[in-house]
Amino acid sequence: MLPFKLFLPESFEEAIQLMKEHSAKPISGGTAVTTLIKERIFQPTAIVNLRKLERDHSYIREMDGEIQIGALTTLRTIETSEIVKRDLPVVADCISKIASIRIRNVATIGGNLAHADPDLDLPPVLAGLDAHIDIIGEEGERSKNIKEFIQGYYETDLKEGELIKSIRIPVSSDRKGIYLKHRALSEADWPCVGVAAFMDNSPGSIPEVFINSVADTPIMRIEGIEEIFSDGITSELIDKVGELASEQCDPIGDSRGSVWYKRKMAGEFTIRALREVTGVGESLI
Amino acid sequence: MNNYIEATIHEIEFKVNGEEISMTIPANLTLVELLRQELRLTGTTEGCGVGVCGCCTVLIDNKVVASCLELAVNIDGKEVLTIEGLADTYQLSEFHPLQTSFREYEGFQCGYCTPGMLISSKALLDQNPDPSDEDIREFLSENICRCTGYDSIIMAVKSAAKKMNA
Ligand SMILES: Cc1cc2nc3c(=O)[nH]c(=O)nc-3n(C[C@H](O)[C@H](O)[C@H](O)COP(=O)(O)OP(=O)(O)OC[C@H]3O[C@@H](n4cnc5c(N)ncnc54)[C@H](O)[C@@H]3O)c2cc1C
Ligand code: FES
Ligand code: FES
Repeated sequence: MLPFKLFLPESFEEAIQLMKEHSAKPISGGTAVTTLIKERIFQPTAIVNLRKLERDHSYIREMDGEIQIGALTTLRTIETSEIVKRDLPVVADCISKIASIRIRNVATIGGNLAHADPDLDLPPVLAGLDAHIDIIGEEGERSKNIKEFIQGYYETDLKEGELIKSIRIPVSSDRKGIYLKHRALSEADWPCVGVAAFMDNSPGSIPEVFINSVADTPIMRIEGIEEIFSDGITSELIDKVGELASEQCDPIGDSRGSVWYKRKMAGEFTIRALREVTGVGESLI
Repeated sequence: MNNYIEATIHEIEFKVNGEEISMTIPANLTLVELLRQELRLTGTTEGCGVGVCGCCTVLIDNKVVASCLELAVNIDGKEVLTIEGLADTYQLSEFHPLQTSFREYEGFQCGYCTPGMLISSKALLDQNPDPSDEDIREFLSENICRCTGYDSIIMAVKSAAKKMNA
């Protein structure tokens, strides 16, 4: 790696100050940033390493109707947490499908979400659960829904000098969801396409579907499901939503599949996820 | 673009294979570089350099980590286990049962992936002393071997588990 200056603050306030002083980017687990530096896509002059904030900001707390997770909590800690496994099993399951254990032991939830790679597994699940990102900056703290937080290709709502402090995920026994990850290469690979489907238990409720890896953000919401299911849900209508997913996505062909294949898979996995979450039609998983 | 930048220098204290070490290192040094170049612990190998292949796996505070992606400054205050220290973790033997089993079952050919395989297998057996074939496959699916075809590795890990549970 080319040389850079590194600072090791012990609090968010200190980190924000250092970022400003040295025009520095933050790193947490560093799994994404180190790769970019090694590939010379990113050539930083200064970096603020948040690792020492782990002491105070690695936690999973049960709050009023939601679970709050500190930005420096590793993906592995979240996936193995008894609280998360009990109250947010779809989150634990989704995280267990990300990369490998040796990456999840180091990668943090804050770094994961700030990375905003369109192929990320977790954002569609957090979108289905209506998670909020708590942001800290020089001017104080604010909060943003994950759907507005991730704005485009590696783009987030974070302003210069702002950091993710924690995320909050509502817990509701009335909402169920599933995440299906289709890998075209190895078990530990990024998704070819990943589909999250969520639905409330109340009668007449309409499912929502979010897909990664097929658009410029990891949260592509399928539009028009309400109209298709307006008179009830059947497996023929679920197939229709699958077609809608194929039509609405805009993938890039790469080693994980051509544009044609990814569109096909977006449709197919939407159908599978919807059959699971609605209980309509035979299970395909 | 940033060639005129000088890396900051950091003092770190840590343990490698039980030995306490303190040294000063530049910010842009990775853990695998620290191990191989500074400490001459060349058992840990670097393959892909970007977290994918598993060759460079070491334990930090008993957790598997890709040493190619970890900045060396981050091991300050921590304990690292590399392949050189594996045998000493088991009843002061010359070889760890995983090492003898890999030899018995020909769990390696060129050997490049082997240090990472052994360290990952140790982490697996620490948390699951009696793994099924499926458990082993799943845990080691994240370590790539271009020689063996994996079957002999799985047999070796099973046999090591048996020896350790005896
Ligand atoms: C080999 C490999 C395989 C992978 N496979 C998958 C996969 O299958 N699925 C998947 O979803 N992901 C995958 N990933 C990506 C992985 O999830 C991310 O690299 C990881 O979650 C990033 O977290 P980190 O803490 O290491 O982030 P870092 O690398 O430290 O940072 C990532 C970004 O976030 C910023 N940042 C870090 N912390 C904060 C903070 N608190 N506030 C604001 N900004 C911050 C950094 O400036 C940077 O832009 C893979 C990565 C690797 C290396
Ligand atoms: S060299 Fe570190 S994972 Fe390949
Ligand atoms: S023994 Fe050669 S790569 Fe595994």
